[in-house]
Amino acid sequence: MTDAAHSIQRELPPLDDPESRSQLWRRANWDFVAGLQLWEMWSRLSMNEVKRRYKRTMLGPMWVTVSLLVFATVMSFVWAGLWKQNVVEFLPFLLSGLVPWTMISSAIGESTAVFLAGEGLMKSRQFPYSILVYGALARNVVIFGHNLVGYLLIVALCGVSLGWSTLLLVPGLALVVLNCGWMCMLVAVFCLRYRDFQQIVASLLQIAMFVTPVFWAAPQLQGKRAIIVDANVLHHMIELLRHPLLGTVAKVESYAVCAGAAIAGWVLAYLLFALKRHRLAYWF
Amino acid sequence: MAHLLLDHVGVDFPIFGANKNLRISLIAGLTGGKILPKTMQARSVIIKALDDINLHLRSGDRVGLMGHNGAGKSTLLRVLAGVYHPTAGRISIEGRLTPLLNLTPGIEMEDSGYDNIFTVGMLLGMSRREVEEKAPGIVEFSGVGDYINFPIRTYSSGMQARLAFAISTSLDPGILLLDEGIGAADAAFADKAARRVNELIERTEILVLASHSDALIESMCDKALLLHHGRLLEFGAIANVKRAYQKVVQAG
Repeated sequence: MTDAAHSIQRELPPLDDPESRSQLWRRANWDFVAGLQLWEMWSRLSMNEVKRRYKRTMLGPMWVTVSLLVFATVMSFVWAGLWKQNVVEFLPFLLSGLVPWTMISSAIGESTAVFLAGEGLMKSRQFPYSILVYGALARNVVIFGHNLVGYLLIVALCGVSLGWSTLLLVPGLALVVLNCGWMCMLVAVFCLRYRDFQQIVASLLQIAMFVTPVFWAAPQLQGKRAIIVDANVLHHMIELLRHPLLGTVAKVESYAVCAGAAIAGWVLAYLLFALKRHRLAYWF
Repeated sequence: MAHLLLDHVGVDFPIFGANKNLRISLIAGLTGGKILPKTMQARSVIIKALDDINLHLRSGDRVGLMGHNGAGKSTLLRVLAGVYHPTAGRISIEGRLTPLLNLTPGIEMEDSGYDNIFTVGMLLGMSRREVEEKAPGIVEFSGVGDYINFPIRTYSSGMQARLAFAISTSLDPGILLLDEGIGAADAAFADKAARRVNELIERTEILVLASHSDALIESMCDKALLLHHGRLLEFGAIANVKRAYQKVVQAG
């Protein structure tokens, strides 16, 4: 890759006629591809955001992990009692859902404001707007990595047997991040145009945390209500990560649902972004 | 050769207010907009920020944008920067476009001055290698000395301004877009700074500067352009445009 490919100074394909769909597609393609090539920039910007959040704290970004572990431990203590389970078994189970959930929900939650936070940049020059979404994703994948270290620590203490199936974490993570991508893009564009969506998304995420089997196991919901679980993409996303983390293999259905959702979701997100990209700066 | 062409360019801003939002869209969608009171039926309010602008600039042109607040100077700069896609007309630009509408995009208080040279420099359009080449010169010119390895939050405001100035004036722009010039409010620094700005302007092929200061425009530009309520009233020699501006002011 040439040096110029890493510069934000990129030639944007022209848009002479906003009615011309082919020009809109070309510009959207340019945005996504040039944005990816600017990985150095968005990883830098998104890590700066983490640094800013935890500036002058001793643990820095590890605070996320520490508070997650403390939360999960205390919760396990209470809930293992409520549901008559063993804390040593319940804690790894809870964390294996909570760690993926944290990544998914905070990526989506943060994307409600990525364009708003990028206002200064978006109003000062032309650039691949997708870098703002990539940055939010990258940030949460890195935090997921931190939490994973904490999780492995707990697993070692609780004696969960990880095996070869744990390697499925890699393709699982890829599929989950792909799905987070379209969700974040949709949310980011909608929230810029309709500010009410910020509040809507925040409340939906809160509800989703309890409706999705994060704190409880999917088979616990029997009968007709099981549809809440089976039709929930977020559940299948968590399954792809939860199973490898517990040394088991997720159902093929979960992989199928996530793959299908990724395709359908990206078509939707691509269309919205391509058709509205040239209007985004007008929405501040 | 850099060139810049605006062909019947117009910019309409939608104004999203409290009464034109999701709530109204939803209600309008549900009711077909038929039973809403008149004020709510109105589609979003639109402001014409730029109207029918025709302009052709070539290499060597240094243009000052004149006009009172709200005349459309900043909007025109943002259209040239590619921020606002024109709602009417066509725009074509050739050359390395360098908008300096924000001197320190992405500046990070917790990072060292040296790290910030990279963040800001790259956001202003330099490649990593370019920043690497220019970093020693930037450090030297800013005069922050050993502080360059300290977080920016430990800098005095003068040091911050000098570093920002040193970064932005190290660019090699083809087409430079400036809002109110670049300054570093530091008396001991003023001469050096003025020389550095002049060098930047000399490297630039086309300069477009928006300013309220006639003196600044006269010192940096050789042409001027008068905007009034989003329309281009006059374009040409600075003296002529100034006269036209005075007429507009007198006419109220």
